[in-house]
Amino acid sequence: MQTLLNISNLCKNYRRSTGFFTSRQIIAFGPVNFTLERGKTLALMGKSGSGKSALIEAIAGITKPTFGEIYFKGRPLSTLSKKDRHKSIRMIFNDPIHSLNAKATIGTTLLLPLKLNTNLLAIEQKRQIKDVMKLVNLSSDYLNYYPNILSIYQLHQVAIARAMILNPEIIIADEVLATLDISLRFKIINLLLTIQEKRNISYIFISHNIKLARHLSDNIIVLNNGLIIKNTPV
Amino acid sequence: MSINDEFDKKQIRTPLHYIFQIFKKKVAAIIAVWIICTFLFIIIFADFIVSHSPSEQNMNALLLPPYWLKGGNTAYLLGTDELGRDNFSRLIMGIQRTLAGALIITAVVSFFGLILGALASSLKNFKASILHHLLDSLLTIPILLTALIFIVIFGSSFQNCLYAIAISLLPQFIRSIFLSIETEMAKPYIVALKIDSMSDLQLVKNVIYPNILEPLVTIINRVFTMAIIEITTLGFLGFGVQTKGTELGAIIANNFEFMYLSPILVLAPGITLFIIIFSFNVVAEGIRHAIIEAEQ
Amino acid sequence: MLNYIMRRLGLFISTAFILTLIAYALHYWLNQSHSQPIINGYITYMIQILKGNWGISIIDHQPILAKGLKSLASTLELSIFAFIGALTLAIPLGIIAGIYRNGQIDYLIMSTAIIALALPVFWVAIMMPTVSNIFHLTLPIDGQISPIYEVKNVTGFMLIDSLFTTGTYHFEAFYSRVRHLILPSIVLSLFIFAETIRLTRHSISMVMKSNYINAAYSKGLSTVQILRSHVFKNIYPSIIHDLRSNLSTLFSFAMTVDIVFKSKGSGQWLLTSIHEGDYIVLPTAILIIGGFILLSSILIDILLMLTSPTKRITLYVD
Ligand SMILES: Nc1ncnc2c1ncn2[C@@H]1O[C@H](COP(=O)(O)OP(=O)(O)OP(=O)(O)O)[C@@H](O)[C@H]1O
Ligand SMILES: [Mg+2]
Repeated sequence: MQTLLNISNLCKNYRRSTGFFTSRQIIAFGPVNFTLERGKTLALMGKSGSGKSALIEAIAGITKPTFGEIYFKGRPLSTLSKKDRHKSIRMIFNDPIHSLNAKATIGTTLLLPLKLNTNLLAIEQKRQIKDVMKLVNLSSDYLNYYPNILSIYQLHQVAIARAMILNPEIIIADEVLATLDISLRFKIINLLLTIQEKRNISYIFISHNIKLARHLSDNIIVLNNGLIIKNTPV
Repeated sequence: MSINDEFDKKQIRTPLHYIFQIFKKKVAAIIAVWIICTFLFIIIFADFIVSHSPSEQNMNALLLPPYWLKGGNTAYLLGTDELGRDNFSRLIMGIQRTLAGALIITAVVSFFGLILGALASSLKNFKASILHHLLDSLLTIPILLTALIFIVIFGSSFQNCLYAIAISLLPQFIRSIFLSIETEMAKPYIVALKIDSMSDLQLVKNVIYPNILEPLVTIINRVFTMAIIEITTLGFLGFGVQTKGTELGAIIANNFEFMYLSPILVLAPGITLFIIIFSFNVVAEGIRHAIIEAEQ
Repeated sequence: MLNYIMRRLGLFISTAFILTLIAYALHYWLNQSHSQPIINGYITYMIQILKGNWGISIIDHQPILAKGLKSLASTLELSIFAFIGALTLAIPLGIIAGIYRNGQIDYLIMSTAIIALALPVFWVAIMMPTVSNIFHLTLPIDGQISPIYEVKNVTGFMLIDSLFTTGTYHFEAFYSRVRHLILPSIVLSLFIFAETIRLTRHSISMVMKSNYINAAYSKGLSTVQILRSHVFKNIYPSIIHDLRSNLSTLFSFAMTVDIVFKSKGSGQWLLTSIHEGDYIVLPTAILIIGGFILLSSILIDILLMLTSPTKRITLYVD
């Protein structure tokens, strides 16, 4: 078994200005240490404001950590190029409508990461897109549609396809399931699990639902005030 | 968006196409489009439309009324001014100068403004702070004052008036564009595109500008309106008229004294100016509403 | 709170500093003979400015600062009159348009606003005497006050100064000033009128769409009650804020109007000085007019903050 991700002493502080010259440091999380193995699932839990989103944003590369390092397959992430990093670690956003560009078709949205991060030929790009659509069980006809006519479930499928398109090794999801009703939630969970089986992917996801976290993950990490208070295998 | 070509070919309905469909149903806006087309036609073919040279004087026909009034003459459709020059020809040439000037200013300001606005939004920390303080202070100086300053610096020709107005409209444009970009940048789909490895400039050019069409239309229409008002105001105040040609504001200033003898002298250029500005505003409103409706 | 005021003041100082740099650059360019290096020159210039030595006009050998301030006061009187007139009409109309959004009335009101915006200011100004003739109004068509009254300069604001002459003229001088203000302020109010209608309508329709209005409706409140209790206090900060960002455009128009009406305002002051070749007024005008607009923007910000602290409006950078 391979260790994909090794988080070491990771911290993130925000500076909030309190006066004309003064500012106060707000610790979003940290220092935090944990590891993630290939093909495993990690659940992050904790009270609101405990730093879960801040932590995964730092891992996904949306924000820079203030201190500490993330090792990906033993190499510090900060030494990887932006492209390599975005290729290996992808994110599913919790609000599929608002995380899609309304002015671009689904095909364009899926094509964009390929164009920006790989040197594939046009035919190969097309094949990859077709493959990923098959992977999420969505008909290729939807490639020409704009997001506004898709159903919620279809939008989630698109969001997953978008995360999968670059064949990442880690997928991060922030409360993706929270806003869904039960039946849709199970459909998506099943979809994610099949994909994990097929492609041997590692997941990190945030959840407020302990039952769900137990059911899905191999490891549960509980954050409080930005620090890990529990790291328990299931 | 330029990135897709594979899938665009058999698109169901592109957003632009959709906006156009809605726009076509707006009667007032379509009428205004035709009026604007007429004016564009006048700009291009002004030299062929005019019956007299705008500077040709006829001492036997001073201050003639328009042809439909008593004493009028069909050779002078809108009558003549105090030197016996043909009002109609002067009006046509005035429209050409004023409107072409305003359109050029709008194009130039929009071009540089869109580029500088994008650059401004990609600046960070210290540089951004300097730029914004500079814009803040430039924005406290009224456009008319800035234009007057640049005319004093460049010298008072029509062309220099255009430069002066373009420069004085630029800070406002950059600030408005910047604010629209900032609002859009904060939206979640932009974060998603950023971790698709899109750079800030690519984002602004390919994603943000197409998504802020509605405020863009308003901002560009604002520039046009201010440009034409400033051109005519400066012309009216006597700047930029040494050259042979003529300009609507200068015509009004020139004819102003004789307004009581022949009201058409001031009414015709003034109303023309009003129709131009009004039509452009109606079209801009129409496009804005079409965009808003298309987004719903 | 205090914090916010401190930040605004800091912003005021840094923006004012850049304004003086711009003014100095222009001053430097206009003065062909340069005896000092640029930086020393700036320091000398600023010392003179702070001492109040802003130079002497070559036209009538009056101090430029005093003339500039007096003309600014005249333009301000005009603008305040225009504001009062425009706002009393435009806010109710904007509210009606916002409530009946996309209806017939809305269409009518918005068309009026676009027409008002499309009328070229200087043209309306020169048409005004004719219009007032048609309505048989005998209002003065140019000047600041009738020349038969001798008004001593006390505050610089003619409207106030004319009140000090009640001993000699009773209220005649004051009335004369008010009558001189009517036509120009009607012209200037067109722009404010159009802008305010647009802004009010926009804020109203934003507020009417929001959840708490639906909640208020479901509590069984009538439209008028909702307007009174929820809408007004929510729209006025954004209207004032938007008008504030239009101050410098408005000032451009006010200058145009006072040139046409020869009402001894900033526009006329600048224009005559430029025509006489007295270019040294230009840097002064940047400092006076730019400084005034900056100061009023900051004061409006602080006032808005004091009256509705929930909306931390920041157009300027912090
Ligand atoms: N951009 C930011 N600027 C300043 N502080 C921030 C920023 N983002 C997050 N924080 C602070 O960091 C802390 C952690 O926030 P975070 O969003 O990670 O919480 P969370 O655990 O995801 O909460 P929730 O369950 O509600 O999503 C909070 O105190 C928050 O105020
Ligand atoms: Mg969160």
